[in-house]
Amino acid sequence: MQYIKLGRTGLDISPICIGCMGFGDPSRGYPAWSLDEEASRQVIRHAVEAGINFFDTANMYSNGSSEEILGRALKDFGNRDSMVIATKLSAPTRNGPNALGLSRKAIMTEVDHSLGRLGTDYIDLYQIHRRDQRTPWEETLETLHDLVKMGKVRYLGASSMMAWEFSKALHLQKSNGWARFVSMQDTYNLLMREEEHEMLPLCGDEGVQTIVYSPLARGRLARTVGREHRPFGSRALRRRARRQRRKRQRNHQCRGSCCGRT
Amino acid sequence: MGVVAAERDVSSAQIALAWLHRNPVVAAPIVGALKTKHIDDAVAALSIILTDDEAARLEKPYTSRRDDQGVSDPAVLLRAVEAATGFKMSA
Repeated sequence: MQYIKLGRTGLDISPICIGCMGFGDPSRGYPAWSLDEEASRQVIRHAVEAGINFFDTANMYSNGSSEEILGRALKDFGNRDSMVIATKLSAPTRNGPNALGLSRKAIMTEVDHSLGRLGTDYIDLYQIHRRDQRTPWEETLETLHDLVKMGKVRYLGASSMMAWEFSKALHLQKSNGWARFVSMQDTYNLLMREEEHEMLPLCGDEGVQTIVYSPLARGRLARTVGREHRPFGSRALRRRARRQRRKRQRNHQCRGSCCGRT
Repeated sequence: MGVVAAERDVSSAQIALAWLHRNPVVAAPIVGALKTKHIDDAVAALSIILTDDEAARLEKPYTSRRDDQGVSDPAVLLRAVEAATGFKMSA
């Protein structure tokens, strides 16, 4: 495996990142189609053996189960000092106030929960899953900077937002001397190339690299040529996913852009 | 995409990933592997270097949702201006 530097950082990553949304106890919530621990471990082990050292999960994937499975598997199969663990926050993992978003309180709480589930002392790349429009950027960015200074987080990353919002964040970080976002996680593939208009040129200009999700458009780009497209999963799985989605929307009553989407 | 994949005798997933690896702004695709084969595909894609011609064929069918209000790429802007006005800026 030829490792590359992530953006302008000195961090060595494999040019393949394993997305861990599919690892998690399916009974613990979205997504309904996740692999249980035993099946997940086989995939993670295969990735580590192939030289992949870059894994991306999130607090919300199977409500924390993904982080737990990844943490245990990497402890067994990999060397923590070589591994790059990326996780995310902003989506809620429980009901009630201060569960959602990027307030100073929420960030400080979520980072400790993620560290506990991953069973590690630090997160290599801590990403904000979505922008929280109801918390001032300054509050979010200064707190993220503090996490880096506290040693809980090595690098900061961002995900899925408008280019102008990301541009504003990068400049606030620069002018305040705060740790900067070094990566952007966004959708990009042959079927969805809208990021070419604003986000990718911004990232190129700022020296930020992207870690793209849905590189195969949810498998559409991987299916055998000529075969009819069928919606993902069985009818029962889709029904379960729909139920989960409705429940999430009921519980969180989010007016921001944090939930209701993947 | 199927044609490019068939010409090289690789899976279409490998071609889609190889196309992403051409872009210098892209560090790594996030591969949601649920089977070990998905990982093998992603690793195999690393050794595929697409030609400019292949990339152009892959990109051709895409219809952009953009209007012309904001264009970040000067080459794209130049082409759009030339097409709209009929004037030639380049020699």
